[in-house]
Amino acid sequence: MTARVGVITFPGSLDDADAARAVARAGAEPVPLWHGDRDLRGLAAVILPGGFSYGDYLRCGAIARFAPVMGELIPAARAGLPVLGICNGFQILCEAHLLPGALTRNAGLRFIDRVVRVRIEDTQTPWTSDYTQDQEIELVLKSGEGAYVADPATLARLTSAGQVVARYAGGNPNGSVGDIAGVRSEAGNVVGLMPHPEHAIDALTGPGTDGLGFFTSVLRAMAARASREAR
Amino acid sequence: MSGAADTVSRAGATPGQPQPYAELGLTSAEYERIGELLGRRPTDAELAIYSVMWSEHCSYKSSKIHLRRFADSAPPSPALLAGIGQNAGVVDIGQGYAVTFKVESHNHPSYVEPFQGAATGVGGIVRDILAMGARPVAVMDSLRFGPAEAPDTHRVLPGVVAGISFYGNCLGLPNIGGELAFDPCYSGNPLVNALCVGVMRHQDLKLAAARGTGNQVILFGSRTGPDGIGGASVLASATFGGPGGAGDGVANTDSAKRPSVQVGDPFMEKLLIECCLDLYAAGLVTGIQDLGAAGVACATTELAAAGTGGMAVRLDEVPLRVFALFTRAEARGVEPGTPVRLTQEELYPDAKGVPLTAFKFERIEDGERAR
Repeated sequence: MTARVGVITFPGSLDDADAARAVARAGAEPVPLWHGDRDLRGLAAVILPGGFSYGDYLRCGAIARFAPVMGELIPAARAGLPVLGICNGFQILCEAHLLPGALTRNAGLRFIDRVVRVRIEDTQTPWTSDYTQDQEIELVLKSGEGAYVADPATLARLTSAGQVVARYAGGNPNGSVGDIAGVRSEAGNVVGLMPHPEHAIDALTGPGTDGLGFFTSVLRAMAARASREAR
Repeated sequence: MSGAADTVSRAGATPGQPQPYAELGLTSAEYERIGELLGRRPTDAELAIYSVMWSEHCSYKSSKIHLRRFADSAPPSPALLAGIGQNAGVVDIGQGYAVTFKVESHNHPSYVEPFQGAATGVGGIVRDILAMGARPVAVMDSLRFGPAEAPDTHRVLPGVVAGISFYGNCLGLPNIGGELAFDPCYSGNPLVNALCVGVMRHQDLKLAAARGTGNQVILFGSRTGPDGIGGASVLASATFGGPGGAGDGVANTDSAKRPSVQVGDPFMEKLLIECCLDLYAAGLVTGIQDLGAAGVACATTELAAAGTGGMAVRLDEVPLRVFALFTRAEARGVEPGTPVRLTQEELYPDAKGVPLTAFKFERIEDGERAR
């Protein structure tokens, strides 16, 4: 059976189609989820894509965090479901307290849209296992509120526990503390990333294919989890 | 502001009642012509509709003699699936695919209120592409300003650039290119042109024509609000120097001083894009028209004029964002309970840039074009 990965569309989501395409390119079956859904339909992993959920009104991700589908997703994520939040999805996961810290206005206050180099510092998560430790990859960063912040105690904990998944490698584009581009939950199954791996799966339409690893990784993790549960 | 609705019978009974046609941007000759066409004075609602439909913005009354030459001089091509007169041109690119694109100016609104003027310009052009049945995929822009060092350019340029990028970005549409030039001749009259490109299958092509007696007309999108009222007839009128002209920025019929440049809502438009594409895919749509500067008045009459029947429109059921819209001169064709009669020859095509909204069903009937 083909592995099924859900992609949530909130009103205002923009990168849901690209995320679904990346899932399919990796060899899994993308399953669209609507923000009003109250059932995750037995999916083995879920992606929260980028965009402007609910128009970014109030604060990025602040309204999406209360969407009906999140009522299902939050307990499932706490129980170990692999979840990847990209850009606005990262913001939503922080608002939902599934990830520590917050995303704030870029240093310089301007929207950034360019290719950045990112170093993968944790290859133990279900979304990064196909990368090698400290591998540098190229992804597109496109965000206005992508500066990662957290209080000093949280930062110290993130660092000592190895919860920083990715850091900007070719200079800090947006003022993120510690050059942090992505973090994971304590258990490791929930990952948030500001740059867009789903836009880097095809040399024709992106900077390269460096981003595909996130989607092939989760396929492997899902297969491992399935065989563990079968035993 | 009158309490009672200005009905057709009342208009017939009170031929000499003074009407604010000049404030709505109509000349005396145009006002007299309306009387000749109707055989009586127009009702308040009818006058409001004529004032927007006969504005330069909607009817191109001064420039259509030149614009017509595009159609006359363009060689016929089988690759052109839709051309002049439609919301946007559609070109066959083979393998069952077509691209549709259109460039449109939003010069004067962008001069008055650079950010919202330019942003709603993008919003309007995106809806034109959407109305052809295509998914919008990218935007471009072409800009002309006065001298780069002029203070007024410093006021206008940053807002225009920010407005274009902000609006397209919220819709997920990359700005794939543009051009910019400075020249003293654009001082006080910048050119702000936005282009949108969409992609579709041949069979997805939709036209702005109402067909099928008994079919329902559904109005949807963001709610009709007071901002932007009068923008078409006053802001983009043939005489920029007149009331509400350059630098005014407020509708002069509105004591509340609301902006005559509309405030865009890209989030609602993003929802509208996905909603339309779903409706197309479900095979529910026979014709579609986007609501431009003249709103309901323009979209309904154009659909009917291009189609095979007439349309009954209950203007008082158009959902509104603000109650105060129901005042006389401000109403612009949403006078409660007022039937509107228009004959076919008065109905001009082409809609422009500003959204409206809600849900209302109307019946397309044979005979009259609008009621």
